[in-house]
Parts: sequence; C-alpha cells; structure tokens
Amino acid sequence: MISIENTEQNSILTVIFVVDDILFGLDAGIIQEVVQVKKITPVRQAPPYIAGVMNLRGRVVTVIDLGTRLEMQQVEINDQCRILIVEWKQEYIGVLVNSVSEVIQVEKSDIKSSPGNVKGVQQMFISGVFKRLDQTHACLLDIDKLLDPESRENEKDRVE
Amino acid sequence: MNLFSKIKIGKRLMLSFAMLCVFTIAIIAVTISGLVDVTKQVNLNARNSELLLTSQDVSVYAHKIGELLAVITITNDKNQREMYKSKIGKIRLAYRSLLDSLQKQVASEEEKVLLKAVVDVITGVQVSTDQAIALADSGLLDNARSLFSEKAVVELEKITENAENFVAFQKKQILNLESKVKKTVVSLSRLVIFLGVLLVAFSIIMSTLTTRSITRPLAEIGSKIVAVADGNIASDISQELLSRSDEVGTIGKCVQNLISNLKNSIVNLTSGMKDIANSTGELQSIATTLNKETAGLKQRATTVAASTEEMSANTHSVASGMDETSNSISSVAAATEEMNATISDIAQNAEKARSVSAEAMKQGETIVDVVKKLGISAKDINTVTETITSISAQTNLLALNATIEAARAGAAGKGFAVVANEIKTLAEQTSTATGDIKAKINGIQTATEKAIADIQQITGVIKDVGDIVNGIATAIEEQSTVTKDIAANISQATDGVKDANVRIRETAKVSNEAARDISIMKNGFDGIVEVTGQVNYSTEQIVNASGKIKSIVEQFKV
Repeated sequence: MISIENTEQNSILTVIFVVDDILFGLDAGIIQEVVQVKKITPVRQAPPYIAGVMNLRGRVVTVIDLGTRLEMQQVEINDQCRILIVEWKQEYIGVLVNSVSEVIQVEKSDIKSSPGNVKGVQQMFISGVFKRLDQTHACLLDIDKLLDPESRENEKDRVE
Repeated sequence: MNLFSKIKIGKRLMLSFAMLCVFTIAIIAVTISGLVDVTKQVNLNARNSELLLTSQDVSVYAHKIGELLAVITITNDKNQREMYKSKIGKIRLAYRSLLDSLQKQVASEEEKVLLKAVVDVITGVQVSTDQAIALADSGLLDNARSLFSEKAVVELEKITENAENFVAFQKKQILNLESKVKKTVVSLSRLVIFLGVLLVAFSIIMSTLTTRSITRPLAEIGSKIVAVADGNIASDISQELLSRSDEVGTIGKCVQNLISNLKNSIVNLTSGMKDIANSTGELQSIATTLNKETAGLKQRATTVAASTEEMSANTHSVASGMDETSNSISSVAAATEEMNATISDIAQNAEKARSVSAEAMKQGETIVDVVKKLGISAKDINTVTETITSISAQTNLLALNATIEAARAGAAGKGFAVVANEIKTLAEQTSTATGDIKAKINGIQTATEKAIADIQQITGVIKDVGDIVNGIATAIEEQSTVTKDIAANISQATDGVKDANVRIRETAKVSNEAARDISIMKNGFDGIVEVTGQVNYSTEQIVNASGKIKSIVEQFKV
C-alpha cells in the first residue's frame, strides 16, 4: 500500500469528507480517485453496510455505505454525494460519503490519539483526531479495519 | 516520439532502465572475457618460464657429469672414484626427475620433438658414461679416458646444445606470448572505451527523450489552464497531445472537454443576451412612439377645446343679438354656418382621436407580447446557468482528483498540484459568477412583471380615452341635428327667433358638456404620458441589468 508521507515536512496529505454531519479524514495515498455517484446495483444477502456494486470504467467495484458501517445515519444519495475509490488488497472498493470538502496536509504532530470516551464501533475504526485551521476537529479513519469484514464480526462477538 | 506517447509513463521509464542495464551487462561481460583471456596467456607464460629454467638446469647437470667423469677416468684412488660415482648417480636422479616434470608440462608437438632429442642424447650419454666407468673400474684407465674424450664429451656437448635449443625455443615462445598479451590488452581497452562512450551517448538520448515526452505536454496543459483562469478560452489543446494514450493524454482530454463545455455555455449566454437587447430596443421604440402619439392627441384635444370655447362665445353672441332685430337673423344665419363648419371640425378631430386610441391599444398588446418574450429569454438563461453550475461542480471534482494524482507523483507532481489548485479556484469563481447571473436574471424577471402590469394599466387608460371620445362623437351628432333645426327655423320669422333662442340655450348647455368632456380627455392623456414614462424607466432598468450580465460574460474570451 502506498503512503504519501512528506518526510521533510513530516505531514500526511489527507482527503476530508463528511458522513452524517461529522468530519472524517483518509490518507490520500490509498485513494485512487473521487467520483460522482452514478448507478449502484444492490447485492442480495450482502451485509447491510454494502450499498451494492458499481461500474467504474468497465471494472466492478464494491460500494460500502460509510454511514451504516460506522453505525450512524445511512448515506442518502443526492448531488453532493461522492464515492472515494480505494485500492485495498489488489481490489477496488468504493466508499460512499455524504460529501467531500477538501484535500489538506496534516502535520503528524497535530494528530492526537482518539479520546477515551469514544466507545464501540467508532473507537475501533478511528486511528486519530486532528484540529483543522477553522478549529473544527476531524477523525482519521483506519482503512484496514474499516474494509476488513472480520473486524465487524469480532466487534459483534465483543459486544455479546 | 509517437511510439513513446502510446506507452504509459511507468512502462516507459522501466524500458529505458532495462535497456541501460542490458548495455552495462554487455560491457561487463566483454571486459571479463578479455581479462580471462589475458590471465590464460599470463599463466602460459609462467609455465614457459619454468620450462626455460628447468632446461637450463639440465644443461648445467650435463656439464657437472662431464667434470666428474673426467676425474673418474684420471684418478686411481678407488675411494675417490666410488664417491664421484655416487655423485653422478645423484645428479642423474635429479635430472631424471627434472625431465619427468618437463615431459609432464610439455604441450605442443614442437616442444615434444625438442625434448625427445634431449632425452635420446641423455640416454646415449648414460650408456657411454657407464661404459667409461666400467672400463675405469677394471683398471683400463687409458681406454676409459679415450672413450670419455671421444664419445662422452661429444655427447655431453650435444646435451648442452639440445638443451640450449630448447631454451631458445622457450625464449621465443615467451616473447611471442608477451606481445600477444600486450595486443589483447590494447584491443580490450579500446573496446571497453568504445562501449563506454556508446553507453553514455545512449543513456543521454534515452533520458532526454523520456523526460521531454512527459514535461512538454504537461507544460502545454499548464499554460492552457492558466489561460482559462485568465478568462481566455479561445485556444484549444493541440491534436498531437489529445491523440496520446498515456496519463498526460487523458488529462489533456479532460481539460479540452472542460474548455469546450465552458465555450458552448458562454456562446449560448451571449445569444440570450442579444435576444434581450433586441426585445428591450423594440419595447423602448414602442414606448417612444406611444409618447409621441399621445402628445399629438393632446394637441388636438387643445384644438377641440379652443373650438368649443369659440362655439360657446358664438352661441352667446347669437343669444344677445336675438333680442335686437330680425335683420340680425342674417348674421345669425352666417354664425350658424360658421358653427356648422366648426362642428364638422370637431367630428373630424373626434374620429382621429378614436383611431389614435385604438392604435395605442394595439401597440400596448404588442408591448405585452414583447415583454413576455423577454421573461421567457431570461428563463432560458437560467437553464444555461444551471449547466454552468454542474460544470463547475465537475471541475471541482477534477481539481480534487488532480491534487491526489499530483501527490501520488511525489516531488515531480508539485508543479501540477499548483495547477490543480488554480483549477479549483477557477471552479469557485465560476460558481460565484453563476450566482451573480442568477440574481440579475431574477431582477430582470421582477422588472418584466412590473412592466407588464404598467402596460396593462396604460391600455386600461387608453380604453377610457376611447370611451370618452365616443361620448364626444355622440354629442357632436346631437349638435349637428340641432344646428340643422336652427338653419331650418331661421327662414321662419321673428316668432321662430324665440324658439331659436330656446334651442340656442340648449346648444350652450351641450357645448359646456363638450368642454368638460374635453378637459377629462386631456387628463387622460396626461395619465398616458406618465405611464409611458414609467415604461421607459422600466426598459432602462432592463438595459442596465443586461449590460451588467454582458460585462460578466465578456470576462471570458471565446
């Protein structure tokens, strides 16, 4: 997996996006591109967080509803919605979000570990929190845990 | 160059490196094989030197045996002879081992022949030496000495000669090999230098070609985007760049699509603006015509008023004259005639006023049509601005992806990241401009609605004027009948004058009515003039609004 890290400046290029009115961030290095939502075909008997599959220039891409995945409000499809195309384990996976706001450099020293009072599913998927220029906070997501179907099962076991 | 543009950038770089590696490996292989060759020849030389030394030793041993044999054949001392015999035996053993080692090392046929000659002579000398020793042992020293001097000395000298022949041959071989090694080293170093120069030249050409095939088209795309940011979208990206099938070609195609979409939208917007300008011009000319016509109408109403006043005065003078004499009836007749003429004037003017107000109503309807068209044109522009909004959203997404792509390229993508940021700024500017246009179009639509309401008010007023004019016409007809009666009654005598007096009073009453009607009509005309002024003001507002939109559109050079 490629990681775009500027070793001189010690910062990570991060794509900032919104899910259910909350700001999240993902390392731009793992994102192949950002596309507008076209036709998503539902898949029967798939887990609830799989929104379906889409056609990306002749390639079949599985689309994950990040809202459902994070146990938040399901992403409602409109003009603002975007799909982040991520390359994960030699496979293209689409991550459906409410909107994409910008791409920024985040200093590594600015990334704090997630606060202890965040529990449950979100605590599992969040690798850190950082403050943006306008003083709002955004959560950095761990793509490996997010896309691994087993982490979901483990979480269920733990809750039980 | 064309072949280059068909290959993806990564593969292109891999290809160059692979070719350079193959070149380098070839040079190393050539060098190693040359060195192996040289090492072989040097080893051969070492062997030859050893052979040389060994054969020199053989020669030395032959001399020693000669010396020892000479002493044996001379001395009578048995002990001394035994000692020398054992010495000879030791020397023989020594050079037998030397010859064995020589035979093992000898390789070429020529060397074998030379060595065989040495060995043959040595065997011969061994036999004659043994004979000489046997003779000496049996006491025949003289015989032994003669055998030694006749046979053994000659044969020993032969050994030396043969050994020297062998040495000379080996010396020649060594010299040959040395010159061969020198030649090999010179040719090898030349070959390596030649290949090295070839490698440097090849790597310079490959790196130049590869770098130029990437940076040139990127620079062109960059300059096009900067031109678009400055508002110049007239120039297109070259066909050569668009036909490329690598990543740079893809970016070029995206930017070209963006430029042509923007161009189409601005052309549509410009034609919509022209429609508005035409409609507004028509509206203004209609309003001006209406204003002029109303002024004419007003003037005519003034004329009617003057005539009515005159008529009133005449009627009064008739009334005063009626009481005096019957011979003033003739003057009454004249006055009546004059009055008749005036009434026909009034009738004519009333007819004109009616036709003018009908015309004004018709023009009012045309204005409403034109203004409605203006409203539709404004709505058309709204659909164009929606297209521009969607283009700016797509541009924003393109800029986002370009930023990610530039970051992926590392340090090389830094320049392109700046370009991507420029695209993002451009998309935001487009969005702001579209918002401005939307607001202006809303202004136009509000102004259009107001203009329609104003014009409908105008047509209402004109209708009122028409009604009033119809009233005047009826009154004039009545007057006409009355004056005819007067004329008929004038021929009757003085008793008719009284009757006429009554009618004249009636006439005075009717003319007063006419004067009042005319003043109402004048007020109506003032209303029309005011309303047309308002129409003019509204059209000026439309012209201002469309001028602002035009200046926004002109920021783009199509």
